[in-house]
Amino acid sequence: MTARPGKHVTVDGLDTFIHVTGSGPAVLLVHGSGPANYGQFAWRTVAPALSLHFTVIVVDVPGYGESAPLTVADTPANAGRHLLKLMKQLGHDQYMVVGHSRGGRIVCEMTAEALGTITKLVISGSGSAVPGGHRSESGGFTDAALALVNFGADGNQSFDEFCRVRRTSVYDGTHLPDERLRETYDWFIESGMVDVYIKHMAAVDPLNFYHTSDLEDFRAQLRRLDLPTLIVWGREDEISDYHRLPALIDVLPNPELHLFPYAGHSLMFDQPDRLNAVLLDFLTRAD
Amino acid sequence: MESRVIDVEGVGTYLLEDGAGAPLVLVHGSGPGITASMSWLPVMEPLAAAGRRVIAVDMPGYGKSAPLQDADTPVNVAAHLEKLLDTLGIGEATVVGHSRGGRIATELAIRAPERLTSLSVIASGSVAPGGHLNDDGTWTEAAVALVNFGRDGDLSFEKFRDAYATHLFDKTALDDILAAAYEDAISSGVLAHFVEQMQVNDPLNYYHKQDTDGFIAKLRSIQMPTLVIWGREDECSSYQKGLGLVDVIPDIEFALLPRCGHFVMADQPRRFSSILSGFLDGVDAKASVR
Repeated sequence: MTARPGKHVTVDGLDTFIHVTGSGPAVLLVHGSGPANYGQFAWRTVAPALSLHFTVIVVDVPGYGESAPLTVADTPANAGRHLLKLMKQLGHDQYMVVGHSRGGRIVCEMTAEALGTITKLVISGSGSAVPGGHRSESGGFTDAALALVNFGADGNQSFDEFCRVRRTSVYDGTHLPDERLRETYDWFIESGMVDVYIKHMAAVDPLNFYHTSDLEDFRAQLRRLDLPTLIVWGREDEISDYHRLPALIDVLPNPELHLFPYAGHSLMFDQPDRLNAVLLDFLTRAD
Repeated sequence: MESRVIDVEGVGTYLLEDGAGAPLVLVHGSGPGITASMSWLPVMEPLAAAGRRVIAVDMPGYGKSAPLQDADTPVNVAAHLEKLLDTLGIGEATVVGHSRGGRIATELAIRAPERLTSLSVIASGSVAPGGHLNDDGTWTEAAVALVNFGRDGDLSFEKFRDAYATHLFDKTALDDILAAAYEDAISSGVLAHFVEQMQVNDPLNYYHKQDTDGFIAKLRSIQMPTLVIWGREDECSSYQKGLGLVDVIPDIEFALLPRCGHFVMADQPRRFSSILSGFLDGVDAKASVR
């Protein structure tokens, strides 16, 4: 695969890959987890639209893409602390954050540590940010969430399996066409990141990786996030069901919600135009 | 902002109009003294500024509009609204209804889908299944307060204010919003008319209708782009009930606003206007691609 645009920076001793575009107020985009995920894959339909108005920082979260893994436990809080250091190092003392899926939990953790530095918060399809967000009706993780966590664990790392697992996150499978998945898959296999991912997922407790074991603490933390907050979600999200959202809406001080039809977990692939319009409206609005 | 009374098949109908562009018709809800102005004034200018011809209607029996000759049901008012479009020479419009007005707009979308480019339903417990009900099946206190206003013969401003107090998150805005509407309604006799209507109407038929399953089936058949906006702190019809529409209406976007009661336009005028305008722009963009 050809080299992706962007640059490596060393933050707190860790190699961290970022791609910065546009100008104006800074917006950090934080992707979620899952096999072969990285910043520019997750945000390819969003970053160009936002960079017409903002300085957009797309980061590979530690352990993903071209960024080195954390040396401390890979929890959302620790990943968030690393990204706070990154933004400080880049010279941003005020900025907005957008996090998708597990990235939504990471930006919540960042905001809890740096209220005032972070001026607006966007949580996108993030079951990790919702108390009980990945739970199915039977109480366990949803099948779609487990499919991502367990990719390759049974030895099947084929392209077909990869496509099957990744397409659980979209409403319309053609929004993740073969050629796009092929590029990221080839990189995943050739770089050896596939083994890193499988080992990592086997070693982490998904509850701690995506959530926290103490829901009461987390709710108390969410109650302190008094800043303009936007929650965006796909109606057909099978990984984290929108019906769970009241558990988040009722505890955040200032959340606006926008729910989109015909959109799965990765709503940015299913409804990019409407999502971008709503994001821009929220991020540019004087509150 | 301009105002006029037009004759819609014998029913004098009062309109407020602002801006130019594609027609956007605003349908207010019910309650003592409600008018187009009381409901929509905070958002008319921003919506007009976003490039639309904004038409806010005093519904029959409210404000400066004459009552319907037929029974005042959402279906009959929707028929009146369709005639209003005919009278104005408007072929297609986008229609936005608040509270009971959401039910009227939805009935219009069901009976004349070819006339609507999109449907927006704002905090409408009359559209959401069980929308005005508490968990125990009783009507919410806030809804009952409006329905029962004046039943004891007390039409004072204090009682009027009390009836609306739970409908705004920002209580400091209450007097500003209510004072002018109250004066007009009391002097014109509209307030007494409302109280009378509430005593002869079965609220179930007035706000809803008994055929809930049939109505839900009709909601499932709505094909046009639909936007639903709700306030998180709505005590008249809870947002959780509103969310129930998401699994029923096919092409629905659902927006929820914080620090916002039942009168979404009064509590969050800027957010309301920008979300609605953004949605309508998206509908226009899609239509122009087709």
